[in-house]
Amino acid sequence: MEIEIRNLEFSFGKQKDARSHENSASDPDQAFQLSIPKMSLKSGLSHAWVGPSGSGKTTALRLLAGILRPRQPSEIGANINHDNKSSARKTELKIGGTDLTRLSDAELRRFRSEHLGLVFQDFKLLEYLNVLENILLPARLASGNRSGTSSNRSSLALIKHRAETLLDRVGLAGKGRRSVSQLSQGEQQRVAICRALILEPKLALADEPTGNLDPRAKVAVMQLLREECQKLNATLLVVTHDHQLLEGLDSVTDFSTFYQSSSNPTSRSVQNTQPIQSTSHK
Amino acid sequence: MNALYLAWKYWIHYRFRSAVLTLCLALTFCAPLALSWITSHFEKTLIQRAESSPLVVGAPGSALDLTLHALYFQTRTKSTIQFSEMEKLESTQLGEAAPIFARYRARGFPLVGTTLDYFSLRNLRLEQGELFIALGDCVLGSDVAKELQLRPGDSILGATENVFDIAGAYPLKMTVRGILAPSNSPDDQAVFADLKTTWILEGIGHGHQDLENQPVPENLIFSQSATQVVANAALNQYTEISETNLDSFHFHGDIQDYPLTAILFFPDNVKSRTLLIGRYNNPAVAQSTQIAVCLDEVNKLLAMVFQAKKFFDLNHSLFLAVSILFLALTLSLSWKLRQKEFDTLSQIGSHRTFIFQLIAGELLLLAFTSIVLSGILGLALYWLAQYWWQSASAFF
Repeated sequence: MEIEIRNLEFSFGKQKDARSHENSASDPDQAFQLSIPKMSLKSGLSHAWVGPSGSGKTTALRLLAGILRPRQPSEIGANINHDNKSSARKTELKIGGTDLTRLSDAELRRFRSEHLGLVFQDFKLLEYLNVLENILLPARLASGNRSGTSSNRSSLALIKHRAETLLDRVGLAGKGRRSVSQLSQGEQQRVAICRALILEPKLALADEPTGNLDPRAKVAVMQLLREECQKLNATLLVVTHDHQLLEGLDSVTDFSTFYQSSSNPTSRSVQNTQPIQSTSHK
Repeated sequence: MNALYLAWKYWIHYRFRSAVLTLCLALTFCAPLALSWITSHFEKTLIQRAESSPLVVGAPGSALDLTLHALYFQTRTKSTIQFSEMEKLESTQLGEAAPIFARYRARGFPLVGTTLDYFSLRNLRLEQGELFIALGDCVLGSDVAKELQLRPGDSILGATENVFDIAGAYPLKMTVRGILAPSNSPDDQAVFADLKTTWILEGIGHGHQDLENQPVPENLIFSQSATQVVANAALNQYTEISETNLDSFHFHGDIQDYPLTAILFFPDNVKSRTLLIGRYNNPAVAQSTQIAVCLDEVNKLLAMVFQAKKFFDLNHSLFLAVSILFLALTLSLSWKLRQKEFDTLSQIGSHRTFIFQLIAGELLLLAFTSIVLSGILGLALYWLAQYWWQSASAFF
């Protein structure tokens, strides 16, 4: 799925919900603005967003996942420098041709469920479900409204088979019935990757997927993510600040030019500037 | 995914936490539940017994005490009426009467002296053996037989509490003739004997060595005349009635004066009932006897009980409200702590209502398990209370 971003702006400060920006700002009370004038990520490739902590990578990823809603430039406060024409510009956040800004909350949730796979830094596995149940969770949540039908049951059986195959591929065969708390951090992240890929998404979004892992596990997890996405022909977008993990990725975007923070007044939003891309497309 | 399934998984995974919550709620619910069952059972039992025994005649005093004595053999009344009152009642031909003389106990259970009419009027039937036919015979209530493990042919000692009172009546060894079928009434916890047998315990009748036809040691004779022999306290008195000594048992005084602690009266109809109550309400009669309407007295007692229950109900309501507030606080804190989990569910595709379904599912599980557990605990308390009630009533 190709990603196209135009005039994406997002900001929050003391009055806004700081919790939703936990990875982007070291001090949630600081005012922050993210501004991405234009960005395009090609379908089927692996991309990385890099930048220092608080540069807005996670915020942008959440906007892309539909967890956060972008604001139109005209909604941004007066304290932000705008181009005079900014009010005339329109925000576009397209994934595979679908503009997320035009979707309702319910449509966004459905879109996320059907097309996106999310991997989080802290895995976000449910402790009270075993490994297999955690992997099947998105499938079961998606089928929740249709539960009980025979076709649904058969598709769940297929998905269960796929979950076991995925577990086998990530080296966790036979551990499906285990509690997730019995697994190592690396194993837990592999389970989280399986969960993200269980519905064969067209776009996998990974937010610092190796942040809690040791160096050896980091490489293994990144390699696994890339391989699995390649098998699915899915676009992979990884947010990281670890430059060691960029090897093998198709493109890298540096976010240090996209944000403005009260703690970093020199890094002003650079609008109409193309993101830095190391074009190592395969 | 079914929210209830997820709630169940959470419930099972955190089983200790869940169990503590369930237990807290169940304990909060079970106390008023058990109290309600117990009072309901208490009310039903009292009413049933009162309805089956319409009127009771006894010595003046507390009508409630008289009623409780006649229905439950529970109060040790010292006041008595004369046996002649029984004959007066029978002569009215307004209904049927059953005398009661229940001053003594047999191995802790009330010993009720009565006539055979009592069993027919109470619709009591035998499970084993036969009804008492001779002096010294007795019939056991089903619980007594079960607890003392007695069968027809065995014996039971009456009035053992007087064993060290040399001036009082001697204990009497009675023969068990029959065992009553369970009736779920105080009759299950009583020992029944003929009136005369209990009068022997009272000391009105007795049996002893033959002073007239048999040679007795000189030292036993206190005084002797042509018509009368008076023995001293060393004379051997029989404490068991057997075929060989049965003839030696005799009563002193006029039977009309012998004591009764109550007379149960079963009027033929409402008119008879009203007539009899009217007669006993005559001030001249009321000086020596009283008549109590059992149902009225029981209703007065129940009114007092339910007045007390209101206080308990209020207490329980407050306790319940506080518990629910604490529970709400605990659950809301728990849900706040689980906000990340709910966010995760939302981020991986759950509908917003799914979170509410999950919470509702957990509440449903908590409510269901608490109700089931409180029902079980309530039943246990109810049975325990019944057991205590029966044990306590046996020792009144």
